Amino acid sequence: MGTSVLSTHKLSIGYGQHILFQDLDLNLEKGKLVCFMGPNGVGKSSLIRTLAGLQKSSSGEVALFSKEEIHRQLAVVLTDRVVGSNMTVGELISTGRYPYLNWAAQQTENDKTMVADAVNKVHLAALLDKDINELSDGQLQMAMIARALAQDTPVILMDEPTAHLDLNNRVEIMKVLLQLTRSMNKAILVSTHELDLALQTADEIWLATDNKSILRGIPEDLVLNGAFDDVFRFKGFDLRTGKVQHDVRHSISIQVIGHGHELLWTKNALERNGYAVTNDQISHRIVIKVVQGRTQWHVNDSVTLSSIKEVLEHFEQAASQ
Amino acid sequence: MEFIARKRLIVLPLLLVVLFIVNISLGSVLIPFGDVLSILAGNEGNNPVWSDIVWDFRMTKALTCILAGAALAIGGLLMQTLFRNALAGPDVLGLSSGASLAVSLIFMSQASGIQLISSPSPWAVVAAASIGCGLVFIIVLTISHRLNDNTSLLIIGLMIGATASSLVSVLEYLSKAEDQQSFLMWTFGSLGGLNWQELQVLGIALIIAAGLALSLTKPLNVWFLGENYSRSMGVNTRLSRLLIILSACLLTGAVTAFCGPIAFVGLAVPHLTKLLIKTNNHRVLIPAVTLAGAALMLFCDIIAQLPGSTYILPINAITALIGAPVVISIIIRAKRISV
Repeated sequence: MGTSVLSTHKLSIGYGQHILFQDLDLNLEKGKLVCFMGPNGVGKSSLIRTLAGLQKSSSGEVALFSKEEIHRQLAVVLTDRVVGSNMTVGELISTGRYPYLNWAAQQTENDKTMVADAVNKVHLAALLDKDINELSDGQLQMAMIARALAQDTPVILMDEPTAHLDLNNRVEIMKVLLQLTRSMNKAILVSTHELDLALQTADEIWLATDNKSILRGIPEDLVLNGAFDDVFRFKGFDLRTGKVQHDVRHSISIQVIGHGHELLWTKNALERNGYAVTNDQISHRIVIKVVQGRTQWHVNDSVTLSSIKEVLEHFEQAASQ
Repeated sequence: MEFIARKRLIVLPLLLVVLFIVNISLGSVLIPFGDVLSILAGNEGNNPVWSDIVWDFRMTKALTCILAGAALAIGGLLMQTLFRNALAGPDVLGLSSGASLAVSLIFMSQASGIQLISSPSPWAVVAAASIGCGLVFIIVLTISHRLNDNTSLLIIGLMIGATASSLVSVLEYLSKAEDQQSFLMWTFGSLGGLNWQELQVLGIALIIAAGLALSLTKPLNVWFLGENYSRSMGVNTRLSRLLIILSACLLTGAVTAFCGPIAFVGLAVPHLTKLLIKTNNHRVLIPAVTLAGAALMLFCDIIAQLPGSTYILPINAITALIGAPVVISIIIRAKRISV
């Protein structure tokens, strides 16, 4: 058990009669990345706002494990759109120092150091003087994360920081968050829809379930005990293999012999096109060989092909005959 | 960035001084430039009447320009920051109309024998205008909480303004012609005609409201992030919002009370200033728009005098000529600013 920095006791949230979560006993620990998952509309944003003290709970309480004021203990990255004209990335990130500034908003050397550190952690140094309206969505999100870092709090709560970003940016953000928990010992809670990314980065998963509670566990346990399947009701996705389930459309079953990435992607191409890849009762066999630095696919020891496309075309002919 | 902002800030006081001197030396009576300077230096001048003209007419008018321009500009900046909208301003959101309504109530009731207040002292007019302003502001703000949509907000501001204006028209219709005259002149906007006592009131109101605005530098600087982010960093948004409104209403109300509803200055000056000084730091912006607002008003007044003629154009006509292109440019340039 790590050091707990935030916990809830019998926390319930909702609007009026409409209860979203009931009797939650949660806690966040230093140095841990927690991914908060669940179907749309289950109340993830509401819970994050409640934990951050921005929204009143129906009952129960949120406790922080330090006597300092909440703004020096907890920073947020929200989905709220930030519109600022005449605003540089540097200025945006500097706003995170708000809880430490005097009334005239003058930055001390310490403030400037904290901002510079935050900028370096998310690799934005090159963009400091850029107008925030010129940033890509991914860069702007990074700047918002840096802003939260500049606030210098042990806890950071993030509401879907990877939404609307491309795969590259999503991966980068999750990697940065993981690094922050390791290098700065931060407790980070991230709500996300990125199941695959969450499974590969999270120390712990919070899974919002139908009965207004939250199931907690490490990703692998939740995969094996079927908790994810219960909540998300996957349609054609096998979480245990991490792959989309393909229907077999052809009577051809193929054995593929080889190794490494070539084997993986050959199988992917065949399954995607509706061929059964198996080792029993095979009708065809592909052997992948690397000859003089070039990959070759030998089909039934008779045909030699030089790309996966050719392999597919070969079987397309075989299937139509 | 901060350094460049400081360097550019020097341009504004220089501009202000130049425009001030030009403003003082121009008028319907031709006074040689040398004599103007000599009178300003405390001498009698070649013609004793000139001294009176310079001190009691031109000086008060130039000072009114400076105070009114500064006040409207700070008011406009506060509203644009508060609404996170480059097109917010006292006239756009119907605040000037609210102030007009309140002032016209005083003007006309006085004339029709109903004593709303015992005697319309300058402070009473300021208070009435500020309250009229504040009421409209609160209505707009209440609606803005429900809408979360800036375009609708602006349209509602216009509608509230139109409602207030039509109420003013009704009052006008019901009142006598000679009372209408003074009110009508007031609505054209006028920078002349303030005496030293009224100037003092305007000055004190400006100092109080500007001081209040400066004391709000910290929340103003992070206001663009929105309610949730601001509160997550410890901004008391409720109190700050109230104080920002108070300051903006006092500024707009005081100017509107004495000079009539002067359009576009509050809208255009913050925008023009931000073109010159690229920062969101209100510790720099508030002094900058103060100087720029004063300078722009002096400039508009110089044009309104129509140099070389005895006519003085209504100041509102001139400010609109400068303000309207600014609005158009904001809309065209602001591809990613939500309006």
